[in-house]
Amino acid sequence: MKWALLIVIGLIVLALLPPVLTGRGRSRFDTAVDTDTLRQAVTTAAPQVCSEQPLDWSATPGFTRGEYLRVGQDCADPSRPGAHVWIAQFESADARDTALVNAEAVYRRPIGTAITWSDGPFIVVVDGDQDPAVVAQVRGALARLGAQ
Amino acid sequence: MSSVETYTATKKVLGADSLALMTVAATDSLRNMPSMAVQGWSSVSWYLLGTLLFLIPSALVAAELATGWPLPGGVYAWVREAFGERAGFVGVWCEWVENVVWFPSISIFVGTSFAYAISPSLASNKYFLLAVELVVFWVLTAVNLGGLRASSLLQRFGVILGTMVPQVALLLLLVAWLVQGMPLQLTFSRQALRPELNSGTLPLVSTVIMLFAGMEITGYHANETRDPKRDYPRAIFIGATIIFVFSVLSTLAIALVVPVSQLSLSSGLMQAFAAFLVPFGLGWMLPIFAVAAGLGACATLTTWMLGPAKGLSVAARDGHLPPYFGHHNANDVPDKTLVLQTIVGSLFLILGTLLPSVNASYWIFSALTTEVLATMYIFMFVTALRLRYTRPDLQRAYTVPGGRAGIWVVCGAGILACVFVLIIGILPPGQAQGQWSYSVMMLLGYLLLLSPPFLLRRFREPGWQSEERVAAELA
Repeated sequence: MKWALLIVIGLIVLALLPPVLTGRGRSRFDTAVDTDTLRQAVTTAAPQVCSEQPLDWSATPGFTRGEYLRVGQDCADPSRPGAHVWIAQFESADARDTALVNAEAVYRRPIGTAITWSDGPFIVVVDGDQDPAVVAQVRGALARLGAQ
Repeated sequence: MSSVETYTATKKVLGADSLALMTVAATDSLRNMPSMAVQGWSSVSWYLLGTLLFLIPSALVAAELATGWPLPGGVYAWVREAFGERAGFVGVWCEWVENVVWFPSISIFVGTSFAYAISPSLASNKYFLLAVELVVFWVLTAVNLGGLRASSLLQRFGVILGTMVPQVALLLLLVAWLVQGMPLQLTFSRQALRPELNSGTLPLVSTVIMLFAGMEITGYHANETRDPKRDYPRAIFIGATIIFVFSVLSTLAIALVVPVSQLSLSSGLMQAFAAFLVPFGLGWMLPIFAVAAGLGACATLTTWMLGPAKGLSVAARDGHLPPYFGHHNANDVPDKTLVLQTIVGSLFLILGTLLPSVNASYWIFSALTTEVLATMYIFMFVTALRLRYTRPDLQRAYTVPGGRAGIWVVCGAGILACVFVLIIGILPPGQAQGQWSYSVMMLLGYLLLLSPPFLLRRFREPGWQSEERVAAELA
């Protein structure tokens, strides 16, 4: 029993290590930010905006509205990927955090390509075929906005 | 030391069909398909890459080891044969600890699916979700405590209704979609099949490798299998074929019908189901699909809860862990280990719900355990290689074809794939770009997660060995 307890404590300590060492948290839900601010940050940072559509995540609990953006170095060349960016707004902090956890951790053995941020009531996700330079520009733009 | 057979008078309840479904339950998953569908046609190439580098090697090696050494303990018993008990314990520890940390993430998926079926609005209430997750987690533990017959029934039921039926339904809906001439989101070209390989997409190679983890899971139930030498190869190859075919076709179905812009990475499966069902006026079926997805994930969770726990219990009976871990109930299930892992998983779920920083960083911890799992697979491949040299005359009902060259090619591919996963996992991903503390944390965490077998070895006591084991050694 003593060893079982030690193993439980050890695993819990390990679980608490990542937040301590990487200092990662969620953005405050009441942070003042809107879709246009996020959209503009991404479109200004990226070399080209290839497509832009409203998001319909009606089956995602708590989703209210959002935008999908496809940005890239050269939209005319389909062999050159850029980045898929989803910006989704949620009605509550719980809904936003549930959506984030699903995106981050639900997939099996998650060393994946997806990158997620929280900013106020929004989550921003980048995934799919991606050009590291374009993703770096998007990351920089979101960091300047204070997205976490 | 040669293997000490610790067979007990166990009921032989598993045949090839049960083992094949168990393999599918452990590996095939609807959850990953929306994220793979984002890749479009190139998802086929990504799947092929994972299949060549990992699914085929791990299936071939698992079949050879399971038929050559159909002993209780699975990975533990195989590695023990090649490198001794200590290495065997490290191997099974890697698989067990990875799963203990992963249980919360699959529980979250089960909880979200069931909560969605009850009421989509409740699926974003974190306390309601936590309650559903904990109830499901403990109910599945109770089912496993009822013995392999009970858990095998749940696996069959769950994997057929929750994984295979929804996938077949997706394919039928795709056919209806094509027949009605509705718009497709992908245009085929050879260029579109080519996967984009760059520093940004390298982690996807790790993802497609680890998507196929689980071929070895049936090895833990050797002493409950009717005819291991006949049933294992059949089960593993049937399972691997189902996994590959269903994964590729279901992912393509989603990619062909759902525009990338509408693929939700947060609630991807429900969103994909909705995209198929609503145009046919079948939106009312969404809660049914949600329940099915939850059932499929229950089958996965049940499979992973029991297998590695049984391997650990065999290691405990050999004296590597305190008797607590080797204790079996009347149904021949390691009851205390099962309860312990459920307590740990529940604590993670509660901490993740109550502490936002833990919630935000859980994925890092989860990625860390992927490293440990890759280490276990390296043990497995190296074991198969070594046993070809140290036990060449032992009759195996199945051997990897091609003689020694064949086993080197197969194990070499598997080892390379796992080493790649280890390296990629330590580098800061896009999520933590530039944060070298991430790499430090990963290395530190990796060493910490691997340390218990060595610490336990140092402090082990003679009384930890089971009476059967002591008697076997004396005999």
